[in-house]
Amino acid sequence: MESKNLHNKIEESLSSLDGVQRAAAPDFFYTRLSARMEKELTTPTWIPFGKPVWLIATLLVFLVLNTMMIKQTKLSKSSGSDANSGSSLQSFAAEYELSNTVNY
Amino acid sequence: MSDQDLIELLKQGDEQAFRKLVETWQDLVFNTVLGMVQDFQEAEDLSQEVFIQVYQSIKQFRGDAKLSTWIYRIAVTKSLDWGRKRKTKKRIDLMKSLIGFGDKDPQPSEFVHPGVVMEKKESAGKLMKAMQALPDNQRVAFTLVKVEGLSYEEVASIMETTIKAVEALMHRAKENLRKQLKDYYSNQ
Repeated sequence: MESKNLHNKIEESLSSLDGVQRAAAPDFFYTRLSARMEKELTTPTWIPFGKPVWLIATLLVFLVLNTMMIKQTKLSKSSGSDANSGSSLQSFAAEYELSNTVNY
Repeated sequence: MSDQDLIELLKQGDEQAFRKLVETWQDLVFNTVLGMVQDFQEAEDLSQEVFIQVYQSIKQFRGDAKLSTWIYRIAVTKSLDWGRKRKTKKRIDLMKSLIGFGDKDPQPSEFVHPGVVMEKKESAGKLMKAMQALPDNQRVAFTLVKVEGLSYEEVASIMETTIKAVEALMHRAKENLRKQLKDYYSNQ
């Protein structure tokens, strides 16, 4: 008896949408839609960086470029400092007429 | 005015033609989206998005399907996308609540479709709630047949599948709904 009752409830629920009336769109739907389109479609969309995905991508590109630049600078410094440090210092001293003689 | 004439005018950017299109199909779109998302405010927002997409992509409409079929497809796709975003947001909110940031989302109240007659409102509410747990393709088929009142042939055309496949989807949807309703009424 109880299972028959349960079965009836389930079937009643399953058929409860039979012959349902179509819900109507809210009043002034077109007015609100055209106002939204006016606002959204006339706003300039030329700034692609507004979206988070573009922001993150741009930041990553800057990060990679910066890392590469730092590495490059370090490499050129370390290779340049060994070979040319003496001569470059001498030429710098000569250019600015610096000498290590002390006049008292 | 035939669909073809309307499409031609829309492609030329005719505002009156767009107004005519919206006024002709707004109830169809709203009812479909409402059946899928079960929230009046969200259904209105999504229905607007459907028409914005129609306006933006009418030039790509090749006329392979009927205009109404194309509009139904956009409405269904938008509703499914919204559902996926909502699920993701719910997961994030749950994570936040677990680690102590933010509150857990309150359970939404039972949705009752406005077209259901008074004496069926309670049982229809339970059915609509159970529908939310159906897999996407079963939910689409069931909503289009039961809420929008479309034939299996029309649903097959919208879902770009065969009538047999729609019949199978409806059969599986009903089985799944029976299980859920049994659980609900047994624990009542």
